[in-house]
Amino acid sequence: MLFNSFEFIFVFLPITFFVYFYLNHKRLTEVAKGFLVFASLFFYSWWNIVYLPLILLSILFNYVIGRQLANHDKNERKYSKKALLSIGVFFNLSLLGYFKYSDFFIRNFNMVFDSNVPLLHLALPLAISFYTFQQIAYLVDSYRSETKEYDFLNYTVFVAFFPQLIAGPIVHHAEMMPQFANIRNKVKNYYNIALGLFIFSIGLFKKIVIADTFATWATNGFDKAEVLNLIEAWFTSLSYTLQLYFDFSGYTDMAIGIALLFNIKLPINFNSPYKATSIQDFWRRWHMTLSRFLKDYLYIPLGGNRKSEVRTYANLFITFLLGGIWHGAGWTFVFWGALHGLALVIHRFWKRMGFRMHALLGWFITFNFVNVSWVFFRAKEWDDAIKVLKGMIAIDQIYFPVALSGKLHFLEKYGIGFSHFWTSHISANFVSFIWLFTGLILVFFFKNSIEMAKNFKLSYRTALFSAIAYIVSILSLNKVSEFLYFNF
Amino acid sequence: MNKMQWIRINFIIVCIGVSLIASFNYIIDRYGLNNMVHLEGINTNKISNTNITTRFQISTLSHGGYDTLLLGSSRIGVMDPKVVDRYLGGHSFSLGQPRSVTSIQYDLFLYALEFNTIKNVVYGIDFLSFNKNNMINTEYLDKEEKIKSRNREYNFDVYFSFDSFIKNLKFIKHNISGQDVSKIKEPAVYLPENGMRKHVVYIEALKNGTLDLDNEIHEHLRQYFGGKENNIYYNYTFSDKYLEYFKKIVRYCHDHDIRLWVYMPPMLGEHFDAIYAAGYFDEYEHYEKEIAKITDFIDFTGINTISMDKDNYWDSSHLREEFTPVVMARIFYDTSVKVPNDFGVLVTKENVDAHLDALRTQVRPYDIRPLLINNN
Repeated sequence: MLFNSFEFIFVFLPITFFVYFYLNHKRLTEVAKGFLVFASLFFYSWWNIVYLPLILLSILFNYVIGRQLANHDKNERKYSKKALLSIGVFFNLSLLGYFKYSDFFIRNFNMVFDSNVPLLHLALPLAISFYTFQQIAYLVDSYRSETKEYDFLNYTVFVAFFPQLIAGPIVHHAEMMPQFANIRNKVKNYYNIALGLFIFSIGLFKKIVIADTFATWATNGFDKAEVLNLIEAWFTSLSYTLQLYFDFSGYTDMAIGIALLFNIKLPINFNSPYKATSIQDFWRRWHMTLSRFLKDYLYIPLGGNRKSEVRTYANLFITFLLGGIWHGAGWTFVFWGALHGLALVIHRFWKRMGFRMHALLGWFITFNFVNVSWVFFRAKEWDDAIKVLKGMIAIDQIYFPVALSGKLHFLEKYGIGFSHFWTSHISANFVSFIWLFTGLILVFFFKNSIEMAKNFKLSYRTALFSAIAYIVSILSLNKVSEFLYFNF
Repeated sequence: MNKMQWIRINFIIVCIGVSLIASFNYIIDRYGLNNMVHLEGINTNKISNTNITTRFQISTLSHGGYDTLLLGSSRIGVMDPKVVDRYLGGHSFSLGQPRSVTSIQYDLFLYALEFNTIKNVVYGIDFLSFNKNNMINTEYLDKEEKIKSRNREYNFDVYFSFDSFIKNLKFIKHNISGQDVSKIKEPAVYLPENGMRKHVVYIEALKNGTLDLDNEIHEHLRQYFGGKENNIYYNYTFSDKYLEYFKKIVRYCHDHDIRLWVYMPPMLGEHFDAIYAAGYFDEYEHYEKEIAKITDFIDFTGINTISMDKDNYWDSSHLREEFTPVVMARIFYDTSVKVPNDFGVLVTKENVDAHLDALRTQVRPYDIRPLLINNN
């Protein structure tokens, strides 16, 4: 079920909300929790029920291992705690590896050894990347004795809670469980409901109205056009850069808003990432819960910056390389991860050398680097990425609309042409440029949704603002599309 | 403002806003999907719903009430179902799906059966429907799942739509300002009651003396024969798979006591000649032979009194509406209507070879090169 669908907004969410609080109101708190688990698994199974046994197996296995790890010292077990953790992590990674990377490895094996091992063509279980990471974090926290003892129902709520189940934010056991346990959270909180509705409306608008509009030009440029001139290529890459931002941050806003209806505060995942003035700053603002996971459970265990400087660079690079692979089983993702790893290494070296850069220049370089690297992230094939990048540097392929030829004809001596078809490969027009310009203004100069939520006041203005966002979004639900991060 | 008030106000504004826009869309109804409210000078002159052909067809069919289907491509879509009603006495629906292959026709046929008691099928079968490389229109593909699972089509998404709201506003602006609505409509429009493709723009242009028939014919021929992938005869290869779907429809009709008439719709003489010039005539003969093995049919193709006169057509493929009685008279053996002797030949498996020999002799020289050159 998609957050941006009629069945979710008008049926699933209201029913779940009212039944959950009704049961709590009747002091049937355990039943209410059980109902929330049932609703979450129903939400998950809506796509395809065959995924359900796998997530249940994963939850059960991790719960058992997690409990053993948490109780290890208390019970003076004879087996090694580290070995148990290793088994747990291995299980999770094997599951992820089998479903997500089997065909990728087979394809590469066949290429290197010129063999013909048949592909498995496994369907990627929904959200496996997210719930695997979340549970690895839980196991490590249990190993570090940072988890308290909770029952299976609590643990299942922690993993399967529907607002964050499919595409994050990736949450910690420690930040969620006390919230579910808090008795005050079992009563309807009208301020949270108002705030939740406010944030949800922003997220819905971002996804339905903005991201899906940019998707058209990005898809035309990446998947349909055979060649792109300079303006088309830049329009394509910027469209995707904005599409991804509004799509993913829109999803996160919706998740945060829905969770608030249930008095659960999910962590912030975006903090105006395109305002970042360095690549390090960017990763502190983009998909913040993933960055936190990679730092806590990969970068620091690798040694972080506690070893030599060279090791620090290597750790940074490896962390982002693996982060790239986590996003998708393909060389374009690996390359994207490597690019970011390299950029972070350069950034660290730059800082260590004591060089400084004006914030504006830093922002310009960072944004353009991110924009260019998204090309690899988005392209289905290398050739598509090369096509877009080639267009972005094709200074001999600049065309303006014929309507401007009268006033700007002097540009012709600089190799700039005028054509009726100057953006025909991506089916963009004058209105598209207004969209692009507005999108850029929004991400560069406006407050993000979390900042808006912090200043949220119960006023006619905010009620009207939110209502208009809902009206336009609801009336655009007929072009329902999936979220980009569902694929990762 | 307190918390409850905020939630209530937010909820009320959303409900009012959504209801107002949906009601507005329902009333204006620029495609004529419901035709419930008629506001003179505002919404009476509907625009073409050609872009939502499949939606229109399944939405209308799912309400039931039809007993006769006119099945086929757009060539049958331009035939007037009311003429068929005169012969069969029922209520006909024109299920002419533009450039459709037989698998699509089969799906639509079964969809129509789900909601209607179909007793008669008049099937206009086309050479284009058997091209393995014929591209399927995306609007149909969007609805394919719904059609195959025989789900009823509702139009809520058209009414609960901001996009529709903007387009309806533009539509009203056109109407009120007295601008030519044809500027926002396609050359064909479906009549809600029977699904016929009525070429209103052509009709108006003909009336005004502005119809450039030569250009329409040339453009149409390019859409068929030009070298681009999305052209109808692109790399024509006869498909046995599509033949199977045709067989299935015929078999279904026989097994379920549905009366079936099969015919090959008339095309302009130049179109017929171009098939030969493009090197597809062997395929064409193969196609007719295969159809004859399955059922008898009336063949209106070739060079005859009607096909030699371009003024009888809107373009290279679509006969004008006023010729429906002539076509149907031949199909239903109505001797009270004057039909040219050479128009419509009954073809059976016994006479198909002789018929094809005769067709081959009718072919006239045709220069196909301008169609190919202009298109690339």
